[in-house]
Amino acid sequence: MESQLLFQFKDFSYQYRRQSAAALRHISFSVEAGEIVAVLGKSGSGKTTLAHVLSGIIPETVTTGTMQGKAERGQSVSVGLVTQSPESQLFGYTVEDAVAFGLENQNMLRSDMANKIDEVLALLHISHLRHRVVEKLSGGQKQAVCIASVLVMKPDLLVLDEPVSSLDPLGKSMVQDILFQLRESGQSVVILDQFADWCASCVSSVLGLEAGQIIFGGTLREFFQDPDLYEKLGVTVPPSVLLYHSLKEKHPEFPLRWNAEELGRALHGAVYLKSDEKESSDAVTIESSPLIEVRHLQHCYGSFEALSDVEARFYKGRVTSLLGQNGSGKTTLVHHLNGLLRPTAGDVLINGKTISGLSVAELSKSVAMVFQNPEHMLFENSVAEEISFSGRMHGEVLSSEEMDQWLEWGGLKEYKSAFPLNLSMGQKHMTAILCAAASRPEAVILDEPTLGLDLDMKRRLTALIGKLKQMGICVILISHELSFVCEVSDEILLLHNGRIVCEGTPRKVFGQRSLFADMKMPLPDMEILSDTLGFPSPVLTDSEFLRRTEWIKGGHTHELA
Amino acid sequence: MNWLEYMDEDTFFHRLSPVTKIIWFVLISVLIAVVRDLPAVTVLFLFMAAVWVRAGLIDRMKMLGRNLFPIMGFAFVMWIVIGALHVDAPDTVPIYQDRIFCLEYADISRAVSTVFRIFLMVSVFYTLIITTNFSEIIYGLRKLHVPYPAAFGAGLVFQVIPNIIREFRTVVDAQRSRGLEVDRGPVMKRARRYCLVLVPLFIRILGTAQNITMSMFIYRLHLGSSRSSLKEIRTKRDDLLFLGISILVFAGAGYLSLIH
Repeated sequence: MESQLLFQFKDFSYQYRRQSAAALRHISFSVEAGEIVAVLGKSGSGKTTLAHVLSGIIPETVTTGTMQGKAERGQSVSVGLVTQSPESQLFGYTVEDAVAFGLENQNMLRSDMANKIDEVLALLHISHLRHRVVEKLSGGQKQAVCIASVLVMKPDLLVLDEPVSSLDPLGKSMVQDILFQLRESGQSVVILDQFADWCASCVSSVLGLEAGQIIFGGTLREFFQDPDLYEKLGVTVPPSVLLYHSLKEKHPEFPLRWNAEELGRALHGAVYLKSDEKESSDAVTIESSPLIEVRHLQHCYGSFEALSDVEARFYKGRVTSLLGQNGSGKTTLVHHLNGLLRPTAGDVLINGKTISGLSVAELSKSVAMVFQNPEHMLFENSVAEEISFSGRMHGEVLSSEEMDQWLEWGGLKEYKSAFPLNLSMGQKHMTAILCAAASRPEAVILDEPTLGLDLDMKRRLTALIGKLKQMGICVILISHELSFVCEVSDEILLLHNGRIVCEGTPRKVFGQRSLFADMKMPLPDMEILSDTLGFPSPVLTDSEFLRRTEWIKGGHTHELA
Repeated sequence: MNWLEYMDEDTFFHRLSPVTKIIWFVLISVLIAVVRDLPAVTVLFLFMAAVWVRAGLIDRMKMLGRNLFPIMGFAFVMWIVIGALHVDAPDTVPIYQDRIFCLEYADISRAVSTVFRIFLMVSVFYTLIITTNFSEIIYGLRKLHVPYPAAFGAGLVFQVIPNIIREFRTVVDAQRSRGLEVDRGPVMKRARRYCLVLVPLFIRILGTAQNITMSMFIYRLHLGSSRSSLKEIRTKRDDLLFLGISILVFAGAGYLSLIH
């Protein structure tokens, strides 16, 4: 039986303005009923433009712009879109109000509305959120409600535009579960993203989008088997796939799996941990006195205690990552380090001196902070002016050579004179990071620095963090991207309900499996792989896996049916 | 806490129907605009104080009072000065008199009345918005047959304004974190520095407006077409009781104003 054709592109091109480059170029593909298609590409590749064409925003709302070729919806096909920012999309104070909004616009009877809302909340397992206030939901919950609010209108095709880009691992996991539900219910979905890890288990086909052009169309397996392709597209793939490519030359029998547990089961009995080497960061001599010291820090928002008796030390030339679920106190803690928040009790010292009495601007000489959304920071006319802003505020001039060096490290040399707010999200983020680093503070705080960054930018960021360490700068990181945290961190502080519940090297912290289970926090994929293989201690990166493991002679991998 | 935001609580005032609260707001606003005499205004103020105490809103109103103090102080002084520049009742003994000024009890009464009225005008609106979420405002206005575009617009304002205030604070914090000194120094210099915040804030507001437009399209909102409503607003006994008491108080204040 032929599947219904939902949408078809035939040699479709789109330009926002005549003088600008085409956002989409000669796109040809079709979406059939029941498919879950992933369109993968880095930020700026044209994903959101494609989402807008699929949903009809282009050309019905965005009426300027030039189209060529065909972008046709099937007969009587409706398309629903979930945008990247659920807080801007949802209309309604409670979840019920927000989900009902679309149905009210369709002039549906009250009784029918109530039934449909019940159905969709049950389908997505979020019935318990019905009377909750949208504003107070977590990122993952808001995204789930956003999906529900669109799904309730029964679109034939659901388009998800980077649905997990700003979510923590728990939120990502929630959206992943929803995708499973949608697949089970036969809903057709197009996902546009630069992360292929979270949706890998559900996707039926993949399209690769680069600079507005489709350069790949095929299965997920074919996509993951071509590292040049996903690197070119700047797509983040599951760590298991990276491991496959690291090991396949030496071990051609190494199976390609994108789920860590499946990989572990396939490798069971074939690989063992050959040594319990010390972590490289264990061998580093820690300075006797910390750069930043937090003593008995307490912070209350009214009657709510956000931080309780927190003690922490941050050292020059080291990277400390703060982990914890949303609401655990990570942001509250770092906001004390540069004076944005003042303690209810306790103290923060920099170089042994208390920071109380110093303004945030005065403290910014010592502690620079990069906010999660770079658009909150950028306002100058060019990238170069942006990067030199903090220095100018502190009365320091950045030389032309230094400027070029920072731009080179950030991969932004050709954008030196560009208007920062016209850059892609990843480029904006890198600009904001360079703004902080170039002011040569004693410490840099990075809040979710990998958001919007493609693979190449992430590598540059990893290298940049290494350079900051070499310069003796203390780096404090908040990130939900656990593989990145494993890669760069010397130390991890794990927060829960305003307290530090575990601290130490990444191996030590991620080895606390039961603690993570109690906190309902996911572990990095490599840790899950280590656990499935029965390793006594975690192996957290693919290079570490190469170094610390041995293939058993005569061992064989278990092919899954 | 963003003190301009809706208070998610369960007070008697929260439980009133949005229709009741909107009608009450319109009536008391008109009365405050019309009634100027101190005894009548005092009655209204005492009525509102009772409402705030009963609804647990006293702390919020104290905060509002502190924030409005400069305006109220200025108004008080201005009315005293204006009143002292002419003689209202030549037969009565003034409090103070010289060649230019003649300060009488009536001048003080008017000044105090003005201050109360300013506070009341702002506080009744504030009471409405902190006890009625934006969805309820829309449902309430629709029930009162306000055209949907106007009702939606009103609700959208209350949905978006707290977000804009949050964005403003985040943008200011981001620039402070980069070395922009807005906490210290001469007032004019700090004010000029705040202008640097306007660009990223403006960009964010434009982005929000764009997102709202797209969302209206995604949810098939056509402002001219008829639409249904999930929530059914019913007038309960408490609504009638509150409106009844309010109308009695308003009538009393009006009567006091007439006889005064």
